[in-house]
Amino acid sequence: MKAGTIALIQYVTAILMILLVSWHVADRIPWLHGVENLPSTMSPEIIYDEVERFWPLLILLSIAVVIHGVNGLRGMLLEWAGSNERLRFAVNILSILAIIALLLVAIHTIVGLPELG
Amino acid sequence: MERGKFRFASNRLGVMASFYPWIIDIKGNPERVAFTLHRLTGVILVGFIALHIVSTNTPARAGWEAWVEEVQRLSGVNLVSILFFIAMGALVFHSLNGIRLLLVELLALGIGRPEKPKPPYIPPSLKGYQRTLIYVVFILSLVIWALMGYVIFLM
Amino acid sequence: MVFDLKAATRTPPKVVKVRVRRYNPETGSSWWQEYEVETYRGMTVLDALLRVKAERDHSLVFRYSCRMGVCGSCGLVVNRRPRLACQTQIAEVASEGRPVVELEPLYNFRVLRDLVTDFTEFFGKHRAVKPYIMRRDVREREEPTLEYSQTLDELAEYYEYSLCISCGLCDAACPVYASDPNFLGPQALTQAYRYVADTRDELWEERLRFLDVEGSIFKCHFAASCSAVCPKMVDPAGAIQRLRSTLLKYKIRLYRKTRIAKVVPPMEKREPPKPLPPEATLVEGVDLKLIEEEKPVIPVEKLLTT
Repeated sequence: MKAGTIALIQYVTAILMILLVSWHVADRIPWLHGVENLPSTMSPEIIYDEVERFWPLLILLSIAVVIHGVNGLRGMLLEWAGSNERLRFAVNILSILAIIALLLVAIHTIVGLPELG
Repeated sequence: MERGKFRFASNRLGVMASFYPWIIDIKGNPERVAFTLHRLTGVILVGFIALHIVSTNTPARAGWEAWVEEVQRLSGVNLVSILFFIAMGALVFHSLNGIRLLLVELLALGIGRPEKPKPPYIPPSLKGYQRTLIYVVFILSLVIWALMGYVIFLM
Repeated sequence: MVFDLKAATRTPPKVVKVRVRRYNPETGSSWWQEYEVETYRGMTVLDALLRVKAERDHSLVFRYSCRMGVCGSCGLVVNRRPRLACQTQIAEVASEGRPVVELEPLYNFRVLRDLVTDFTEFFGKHRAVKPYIMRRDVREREEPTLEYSQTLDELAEYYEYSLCISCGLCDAACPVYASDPNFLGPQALTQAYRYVADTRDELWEERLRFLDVEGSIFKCHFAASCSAVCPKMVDPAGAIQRLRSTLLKYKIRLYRKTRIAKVVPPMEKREPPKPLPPEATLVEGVDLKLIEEEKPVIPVEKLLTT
């Protein structure tokens, strides 16, 4: 892939994340749920309800986050790898593997969510 | 590096230049501090996201009881909640500075117009409103981080 | 770089210690050497180095040429900040509290000896971005018959970036250039933008496509150290952000160069001759009309060959 395309993906995921992450973090504010502390906002009922209602957003968020994060780290590792072609290749392959692995786990989280009770 | 009988030294500063801004004198260059912090928080966040994705997988992997137990580890002051607090600080700074970088890098805003050099010779990109935004980002992220600390530790 | 405009009017400390990081390529050894130099008001770092070389240690090696910030050969690191030795007042970098001037060869370059660095890689990267006007009609560019038209506004778009003197300070300050040897560096990228922004350049797409590779423009993350140290206020950081924005817009088909300068004949319109004041008298034998019509004869070929 061209470097410019990767950079565009990096910026687009960044814009997506600004919206999605602020929603995701704001959803953990205790007062919104009428509970008294942070762990209570992550009770099974609230989480189950959230995943039921917003699963497409959560999947989009995980895709954006994983691609943006791993690609950012890849950029730094490529700087460190310099002109060592083997190392560069290894970094690229490992990044793709890391993206796939993390996304599989994230999708399993949402698809394999057990019923309450 | 050999050439004949001469050896020439490489004077590269190396990776440290990205993680230690004061390796050169950076007077009048807070962008460099923001750049370093953006990198550092980025690395922290990649680690956090990997852990976060694996740990939120708990209900699907081991059921809701294990999830409740996992969440309880966040209450009170302990290693997990302190690491979580650090990750949240990284998140806040990375997002706010990210908005500034999107303006500057993607849209080329906040860096002034090209102009003819005249005393006192301050380049337009260091006079643009991105410079003000840096200080806004620093202060705002400290404030939000403190609020998050209140939610995490004191509630 | 923000200049201390009053520095030359201040008196520096009477005696400063000039610490130089020296390097001997024959033995491969590197060491710090200290010289004490008596100063005077208005003394620059280059003056101090020249005094050391003349009076103390003739084996000290450094590069300089114009002594007035035009040639860009005397770039070195003064007190951990890349500067031009000839443009830096001793009074600016040394104070009574700390009368020390630490000199190092430019960071991120290869050191040849003492303070002299190797610019082969630097100029190679500069050459790689094709820093010249590219036209479809190469013949017209090489042997111009007419002029390219350009308005003052169009000139202002890139004029600042054309002031670069290739001193290498920006590359020495860049944190990405420090860790990634493949990065083109602020200087080369600024020159690339200078020609992309120039309306006379016709093949800008070729240059943009060349830059769309790993390790070129997208490695810049706006640490802006390049702009902070630039002695000519070229503002590489701003140029690189504009270039990146242009390239990304071009990739999603939002950018087209709106105007390419065309060749035009030189301006023919002449102002009408001013009438002579009434009190003026003509020298005998001079015909004003004849002077107006006759073109001055300058043997151009002769001028070019000598």
